[in-house]
Amino acid sequence: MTFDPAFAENPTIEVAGASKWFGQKVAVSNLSCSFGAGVTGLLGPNGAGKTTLLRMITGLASVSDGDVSVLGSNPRKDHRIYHHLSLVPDEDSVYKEMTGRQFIAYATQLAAAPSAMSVDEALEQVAMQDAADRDIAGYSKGMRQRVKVAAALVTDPQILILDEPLNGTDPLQRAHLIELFQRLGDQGKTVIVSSHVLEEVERVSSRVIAIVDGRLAAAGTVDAIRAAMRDIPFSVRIGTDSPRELGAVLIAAGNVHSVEIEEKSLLILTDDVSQLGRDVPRMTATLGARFTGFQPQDDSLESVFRYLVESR
Amino acid sequence: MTPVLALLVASIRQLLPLKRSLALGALQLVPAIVYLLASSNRTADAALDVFLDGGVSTYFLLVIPIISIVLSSSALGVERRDQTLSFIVLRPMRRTTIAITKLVATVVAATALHAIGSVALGGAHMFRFDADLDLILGLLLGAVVATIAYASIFIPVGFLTDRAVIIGLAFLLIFENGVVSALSALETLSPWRLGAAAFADMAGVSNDGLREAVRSLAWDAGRSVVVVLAMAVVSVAITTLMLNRRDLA
Repeated sequence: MTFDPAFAENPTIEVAGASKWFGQKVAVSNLSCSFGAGVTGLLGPNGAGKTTLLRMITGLASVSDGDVSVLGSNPRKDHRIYHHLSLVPDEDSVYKEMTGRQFIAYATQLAAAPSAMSVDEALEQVAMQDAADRDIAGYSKGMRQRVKVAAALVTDPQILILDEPLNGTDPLQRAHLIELFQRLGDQGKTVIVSSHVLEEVERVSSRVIAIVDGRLAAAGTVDAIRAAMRDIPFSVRIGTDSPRELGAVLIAAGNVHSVEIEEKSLLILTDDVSQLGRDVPRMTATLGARFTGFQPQDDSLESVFRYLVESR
Repeated sequence: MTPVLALLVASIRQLLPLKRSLALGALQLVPAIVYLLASSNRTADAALDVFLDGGVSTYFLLVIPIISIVLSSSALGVERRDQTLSFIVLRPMRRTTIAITKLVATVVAATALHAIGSVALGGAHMFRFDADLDLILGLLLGAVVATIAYASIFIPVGFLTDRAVIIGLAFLLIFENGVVSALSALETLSPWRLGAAAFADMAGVSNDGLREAVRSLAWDAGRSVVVVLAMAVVSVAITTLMLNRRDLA
């Protein structure tokens, strides 16, 4: 029996072939994965479909095809799951006319059940005691993020979903929030943290689900994702006045996947960018050609993920 | 505090921030001012005509609709605009409960403002001519009836679009004061007429102008109340359906 890293043991959230489209635009396409206890990083470039997936999980958005279940229930039909689930959305969904304390208290009042945590304790969790009695309208982006986290935490949910929660936070706040998310994961809660920054996700969680263009790009540990990324051929543009001759030498050397000749440059696909960087100046010198530039083309997270999707 | 009460209190506060309360509260005084300016040196009978044709008509045709439409459009519209809708819908609370609570909050907030206008207008006539207290109570009942009807229409509209107030004003000017004036069969769909009919019955006052305005609605106040409650039930059902079916921000 093989273990698929996209699926968690004893899942609390199951996504089975879920798709979501808005008219002609497909936001999430036939995505299957699950989430269980601990922190899972949901990684992907902006526009990858992370927020749409989280909105389907929370029941804010319908599923066009497939299924999403939370604690065995359909989140669109069973409002009781919100006893156990909290969302920290990406947008500023705060009542700016309230103080931070009032906002968190409001979250507890709407929760219907006695809260396991007091408002003061929730404020303490996000280090917001000092600003608790100020209007949210005067908060910085980082403070608003933290007060949203406190409002989500105060009901002591089993599942905590955080959409880009580290946006706008300073390094100190970020470190504090990351430590908090890890602590919650260690307590056995299902914590999903979305981000478009690999390093950020790496700090928060060991398990990562990466999506791009609404499809599963990679899943597993951060190390496994990094290893997958290392195997990706990268595109590099090399500037030279003798592209044809240099291309022939590179092909003969055998360390490139493909060569595309352009007017004053070459577009190379290679597994080892650093080796190519060492070889090209030597080769151009041997040819007596001019070497005018060396520009990796696709080292962005998005292009890396897009490659991973295509290779699955 | 129960979840429903918490949502109700927060919604009323959201509907009535200080600046809006002061502006709409000042608007409530307009019918009384119109009446006082137009009725000076008049006899009791002549002043009653001014009261009905000037004060009451300004109140029901202008003040109540504007305030009710503004507040109704905001009830869910502000939550959608400020992206706080997810904060209330992701709670262990039925969407029907949210829809009912928002409707009640709108009516309570509007009634608080209408109390100013009703007391000012009714009181101005009552104290000058020793009229009955039913004048004030009738104005207030009529205002509440009209508000429930407007809220039933414009809470769902406000949920759907940012232009609900503009649509509301078009509804008032084109539909209520144009189409319905020409087709009296549609009077049951005119919120201010339902309110005015309830007022006329409860206050026990009327004149040609008021009778002309609410031609087919010469009912008792109870029937107006029944009509607007039926509208409220349909409105809650529609709002619940939208909260359940639509993708929410």
